[in-house]
Amino acid sequence: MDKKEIKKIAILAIKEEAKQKPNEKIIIGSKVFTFSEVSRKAENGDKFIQKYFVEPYINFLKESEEFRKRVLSMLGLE
Amino acid sequence: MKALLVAPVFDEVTPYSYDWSREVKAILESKGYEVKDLSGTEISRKDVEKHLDDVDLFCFYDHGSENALWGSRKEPVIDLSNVKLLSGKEVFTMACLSAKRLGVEAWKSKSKVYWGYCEPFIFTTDSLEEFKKFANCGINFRLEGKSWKECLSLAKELGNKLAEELSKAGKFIAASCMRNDVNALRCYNGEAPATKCFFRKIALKIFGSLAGWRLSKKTALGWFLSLVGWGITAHDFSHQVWELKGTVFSMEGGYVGLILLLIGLFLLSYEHIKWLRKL
Repeated sequence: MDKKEIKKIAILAIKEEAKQKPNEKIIIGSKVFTFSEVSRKAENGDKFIQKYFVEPYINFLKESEEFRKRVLSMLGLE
Repeated sequence: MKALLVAPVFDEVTPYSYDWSREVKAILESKGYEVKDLSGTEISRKDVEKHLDDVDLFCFYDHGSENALWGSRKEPVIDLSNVKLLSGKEVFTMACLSAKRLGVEAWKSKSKVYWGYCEPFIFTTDSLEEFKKFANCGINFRLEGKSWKECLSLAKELGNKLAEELSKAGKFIAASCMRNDVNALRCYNGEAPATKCFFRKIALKIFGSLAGWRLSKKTALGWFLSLVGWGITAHDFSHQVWELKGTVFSMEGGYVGLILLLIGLFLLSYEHIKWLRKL
């Protein structure tokens, strides 16, 4: 899986989970976002969200096979 | 044993960390700590400084930045100018970023330990119990009698386990945030601070972690300029000797002076490093 493909999967997974729980919140330091806001910002390439949320998500997908399998299964891509 | 617990409340986020800090207070008291609790509202620097004097453990639950721990939007309770107050104390923080610089300075100032995060602490409201468990586990392990090094390793193990459980439960966003927090967790004295700076890495390798971290950039630049200056002088002088005598090997007062300068520089450096280690 190349970098672009992993990023695409990460964004899809974030969007999917945000659809299920749009009003749950994510707190990054002193900033608060709902899942739906984070999903929108991730898709739009917001720099803050990319750095502190999307990139760690991508790294986790790369590092953990179990995590990757579960995410792919949620997306029906397995 | 005395502890100072600081958990200010002043925005939308701080009530969460305040809530988590209540568990820490209860645990500390159950283990016989006398806890001075400055929490639930904006906390002033003056108040924290006043109570820091006679405590063994300082716990801070709130916003942090690279150089400071914040008691309100405007005022840091600890920053680089009063970090020396942490000397001789165990410092446990649940604050973003402070392990990046403030923690290193606290460690250099001989705080017994600095527990904190070198990136923003991230959590989600769909898994608050798991994040609370992770945020508080370090102090729990410590009060069970573990060394700080063991606490760090157990905390990372627990965080990874929680991330795995969250992922199994389909909470992928929370799992990723937990993983981020695990990677950002630092415990200086459990582990010495790491660095990305090439020159600092060399200093740490040559002089050891304490002196390597305390060595200032100006001192390093001073050594570099002295040695370059010495090299230029030595080259120039030996060239002059060669022009006059046809050889560079000649017993000249200039050579003796250069050797004495070099010995003097090494002696000064040796004493400086010894002093840095003792500070």
